[in-house]
Amino acid sequence: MLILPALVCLPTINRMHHDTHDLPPFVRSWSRLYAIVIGGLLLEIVLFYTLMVWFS
Amino acid sequence: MSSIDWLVLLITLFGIIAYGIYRSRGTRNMDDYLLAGHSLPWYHVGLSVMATQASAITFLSAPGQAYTDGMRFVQFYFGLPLAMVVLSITFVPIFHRLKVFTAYEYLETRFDARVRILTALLFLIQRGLSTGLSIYAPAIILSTILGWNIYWTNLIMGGLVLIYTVTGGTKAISYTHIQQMMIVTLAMIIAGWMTVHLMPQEVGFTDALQVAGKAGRLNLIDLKFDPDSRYNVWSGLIGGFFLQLSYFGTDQSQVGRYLTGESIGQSRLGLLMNGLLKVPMQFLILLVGVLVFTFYQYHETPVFFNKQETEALKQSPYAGEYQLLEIKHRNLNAQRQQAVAAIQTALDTDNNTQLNQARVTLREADAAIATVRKDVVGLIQKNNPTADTSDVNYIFLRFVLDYLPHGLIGLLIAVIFSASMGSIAAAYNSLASTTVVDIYKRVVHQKDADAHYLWVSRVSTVIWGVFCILVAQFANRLGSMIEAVNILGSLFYGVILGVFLVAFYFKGLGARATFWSAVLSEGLVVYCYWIDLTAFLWLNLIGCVLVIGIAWLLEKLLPTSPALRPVTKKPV
Repeated sequence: MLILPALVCLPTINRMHHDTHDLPPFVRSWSRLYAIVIGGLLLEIVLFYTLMVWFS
Repeated sequence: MSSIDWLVLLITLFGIIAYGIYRSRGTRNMDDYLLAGHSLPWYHVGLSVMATQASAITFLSAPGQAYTDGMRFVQFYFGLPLAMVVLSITFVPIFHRLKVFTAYEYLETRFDARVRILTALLFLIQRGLSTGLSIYAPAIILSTILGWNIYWTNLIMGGLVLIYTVTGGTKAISYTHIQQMMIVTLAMIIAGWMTVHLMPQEVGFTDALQVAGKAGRLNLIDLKFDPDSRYNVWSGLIGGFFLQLSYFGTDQSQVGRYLTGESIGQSRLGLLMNGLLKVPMQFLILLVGVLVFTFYQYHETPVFFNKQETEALKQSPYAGEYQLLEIKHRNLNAQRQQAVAAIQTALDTDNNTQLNQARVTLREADAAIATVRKDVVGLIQKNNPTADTSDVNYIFLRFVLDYLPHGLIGLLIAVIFSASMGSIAAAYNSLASTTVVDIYKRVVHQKDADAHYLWVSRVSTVIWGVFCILVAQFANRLGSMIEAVNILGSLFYGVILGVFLVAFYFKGLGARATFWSAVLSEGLVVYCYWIDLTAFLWLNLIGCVLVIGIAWLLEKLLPTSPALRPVTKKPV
């Protein structure tokens, strides 16, 4: 099942270019900003899991 | 509601409408009206995208859902950040460079007019129906509180938004979205804080979470892969990814928001801001619902949260039976409160045996309460076969009205209105833009002055407003509305997304194969839902895969399929 989103994501990753226009000052490239967003999601999942286990 | 609540509500509503009208100035052409002249910065785009998605349904249903079902609904949004990344890389640059007004315009450059019009029509059906539900959501609140006629309430709710949507278009909508998001965030934080504050003095925030956790309401993560389970990590990441990708990438109500960005970068930043903030925002809304649940562990819970229905029961021949059930419910509530107090003591003294015993008592009391509620629902149904037997959407509102202080009640009612206005305004605007750009300008009346199309856009907004209000009049028995809207979306989004994915990634597949594949796939998705094949989130994936698979098959079977057109060509 995980192959399906990968089919969508992988070709798009190939399209990443090194345009730095409009980027926030603390991020060097768009791909780094995308990594921050995905990393944020993973962190949230881990935090939610910890919260759930801790309080039950 | 007291006069201070009315004052807060009216000031907020008229403030939004007046600000929207004020921001309507300078709307001179189609570009201004439909895309705010491509002039908005990233935070405008981000907040507008968030306000469009967060309708009144979000603030009505989600806390109620957390109360009854726990926080597992948050997993539904796990696919969103991934979808934002894919959109930023693929969809945004393509739409910006082609300078399209709607997402469906692109499909003509890639396929042909048939595919464009079919996709636009699927969008119009889905969005028109779900906007009707978005009008109905706040309308039930007003009708419950004030005893107003629901049909008139729908009319007022859907009509108020039209004032600034028709005059100002996208620019007015985007500016009012910022105002609405600020009100909504502030009020929900205050509501959460007040809920904890209203609990017994010895119960703090972490104690409240302990109780919710022991009652199974902090079920945030479910790692088990089960296609029949509505919300788990996998359905959220995979099904949710496809749903969000389809919603943000192909639904004009969202595409129209991020195309207002002054550049590709500003639109991208707005979407990524949404990717970072949406899950925490949804978590906070659900957390308020869980806190309300904990609050009711220390206070008497209404046997049924929709007061209108229980009041009707008291006046019916079933009043005696209802009274007995109410007494039973009150006794069980007392039992439950004792069990919760025992859990609290066991936690404080670190006594595991007592904790386990109290937990069992709590679960037994909960099960008995659920049975009593079922009996009450049975009575409601006997008394009035057309009655709304789901009270999920009334839980948060009932709590607000019964326990929160005056002023805050008005503010929270204003939140529900603001959120509703934000999403309805964007929907009206997108329905009008798709109708004018993809149907009227493409099929009916191809060449005329910009002023003519601007006028048609305004008329179209009014017509769609009337249609959506009519849909709202028939939307009174759909259970949890947030689920109803998502189910409706799942029936169409997968197919629409499939068409766009074929356009972006399968360059060898032509227009004819894609068109017939979309028609067949839509039929199959509706059939899958009809026979209840799987949980609704998976319909997005099924629709999408079917379009790609069938298009590929048809391309092989239909060798005379028309050749691909170059992507750079701009449609009429």
